[in-house]
Amino acid sequence: MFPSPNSHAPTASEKLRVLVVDDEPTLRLGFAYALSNKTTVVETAATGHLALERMAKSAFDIMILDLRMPEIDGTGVIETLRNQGDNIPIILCSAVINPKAAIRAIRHGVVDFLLKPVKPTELREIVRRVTQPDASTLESALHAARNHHLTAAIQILETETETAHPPDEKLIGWLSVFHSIRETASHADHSLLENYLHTHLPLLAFNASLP
Amino acid sequence: MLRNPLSLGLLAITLILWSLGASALLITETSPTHLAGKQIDQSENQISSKDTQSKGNSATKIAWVTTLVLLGTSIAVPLHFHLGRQLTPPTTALHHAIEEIRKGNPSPTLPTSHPNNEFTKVFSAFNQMAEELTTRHTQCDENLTRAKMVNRAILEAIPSPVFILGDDTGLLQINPAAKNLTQKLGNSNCLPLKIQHILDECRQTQTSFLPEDPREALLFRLDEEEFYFLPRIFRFATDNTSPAGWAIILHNVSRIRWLDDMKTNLISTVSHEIKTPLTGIRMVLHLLLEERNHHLDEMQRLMVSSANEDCERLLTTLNTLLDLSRAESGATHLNRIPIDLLESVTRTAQLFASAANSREIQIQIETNDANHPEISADPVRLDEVLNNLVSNAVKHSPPGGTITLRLSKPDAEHLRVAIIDQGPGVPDACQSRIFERFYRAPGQKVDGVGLGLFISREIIRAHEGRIGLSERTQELTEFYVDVPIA
Repeated sequence: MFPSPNSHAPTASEKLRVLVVDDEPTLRLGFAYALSNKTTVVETAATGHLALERMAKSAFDIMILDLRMPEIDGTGVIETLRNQGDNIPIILCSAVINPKAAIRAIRHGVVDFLLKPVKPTELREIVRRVTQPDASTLESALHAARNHHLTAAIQILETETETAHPPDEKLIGWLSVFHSIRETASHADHSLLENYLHTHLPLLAFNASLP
Repeated sequence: MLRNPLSLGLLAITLILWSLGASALLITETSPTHLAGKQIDQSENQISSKDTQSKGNSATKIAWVTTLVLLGTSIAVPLHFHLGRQLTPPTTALHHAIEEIRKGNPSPTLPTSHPNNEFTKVFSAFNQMAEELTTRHTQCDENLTRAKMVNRAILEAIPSPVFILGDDTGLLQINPAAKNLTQKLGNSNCLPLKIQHILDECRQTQTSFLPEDPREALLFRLDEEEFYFLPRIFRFATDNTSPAGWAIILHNVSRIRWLDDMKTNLISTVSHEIKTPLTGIRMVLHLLLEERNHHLDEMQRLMVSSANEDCERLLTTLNTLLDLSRAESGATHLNRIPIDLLESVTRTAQLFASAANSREIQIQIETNDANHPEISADPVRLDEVLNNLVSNAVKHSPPGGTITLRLSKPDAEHLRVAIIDQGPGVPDACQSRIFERFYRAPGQKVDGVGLGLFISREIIRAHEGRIGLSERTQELTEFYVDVPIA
């Protein structure tokens, strides 16, 4: 556990518990330092195995998960947890998120993608978005998707994209991805969606950048 | 017969004999008359006795002349026929022999044991010539056969599949490597369809197809393994009389492709490996610069800022390398389907709407034909190209300007989308270089590493389309993309 820089008073129940899983030591240190404050406690794990061990021992509110790791990768951790019935919110954080992994993640209610390199402010903001989503179209739609309410998420997005001019490209992107995932069976061929995500994934990521 | 001098001689001999006989006859006719005139003055006895004597004399002479004439004739006639017979067959034989040689048959032999000396010489000379001809002929044949066999052996030994076709016909020749290939493709001794298509185009345009880039190689699946063959298709013509045709050689460039992919993968892997720790370093530097809990002194801040800038630069370089490897590996695996170009253009316009709005730039779409045909393209890769061009247009447009995306049909095979902006345009000096990798026009303030147009060109090339910069008119910069119609 990383010692919180301002570690005074708040009770354990009030604190947000974050688990950072990354095989890069400096990044673990940085993430922990960036997020730790009066109300947030950060623990770290260097591998997927260690992360699952931690999860079994104690409860966490949110997990920041690297995709590319030895032994069990990010996707493996997500699937193990979901199979155990654990629906902990997960932020998938990687330098490259491939479309296949993204589709599997979205199916498991993981819709928060953070592309490395990450700035501290971006990290804090995405944690805020997941733990305290606001009433905006995107955040409420993603919140619904996190809780596996894909149809609800689509409804929220559709109402907004039908009225707004010009419609937000992020919303359109998410809408088409949700549609595509809802309409295809879990093991069906996703080649078209994969193709779409190939160029549009950065758009869906939290720290999106235009091409 | 008369043409022959020997025949003339023969005729002369006959004539001489005849004239001999004739003159002998004349002598016998006149002498008895003279003798009779003289004998009138002499006694009657003498007359009668001499008359009987002269009568007996002339009969003998006539018989003699007749005999002579008959003899001459009997000598001349057989002589004549004998000589004629002797002379006729040699010329006929010679004529026949010449005919035979003309027809190209093996050399006929003429008899050299001819009584006539002249003919013996001619015939033996002729025989020698014929023999020589035969020898030469055989040598020629042998050389030809050898050349043919060598050619065939070379063709058969060429390890690459080789197909030979006539100008308008099907396969004429095929080597064992080609036979093997077609067999494995399940279509024995047939030109693979992919190649047939290229050949059809070559025949139509009468141009060779000789690509150098192994990226233009065709993929063949043989025994569940992937092979890349670079086709080399060219026309050959020996001369005006011989039939011309087309030759197709398939170079197996699988190994080159594999190495190329390895290189691309290596760049990609190395870049990722460097990028991962770098993101950690960058995070920590950012945190230090935030000075949330402890303040840095001036020197410390300077050092951390400098380290941070280096870090950013390194990340940019790595991203460039990753983009490059993506460009090199990406353009080869196209997923082409019939699509509506207008949809792609609309998607791109939407994508950049907010970025354009923020600078009060308008993006408008123009199309004069609502029923334009569908194009054959990979929608994702085409979007990438359009995004790149529109992104450039947005970057270079003056605030409040308009970007026009215009659809048109420049020729029967392509649909065009023109991306027109009101920016300052591309300086003349660098117009020819903007599609090169890493090229950036000097004095550019806008972000970028100079790969966008390079990647776009790679993608459009893989589509067999065209991309370019039109001539600047009316203060407008126009880039165009031509994509083949489906």
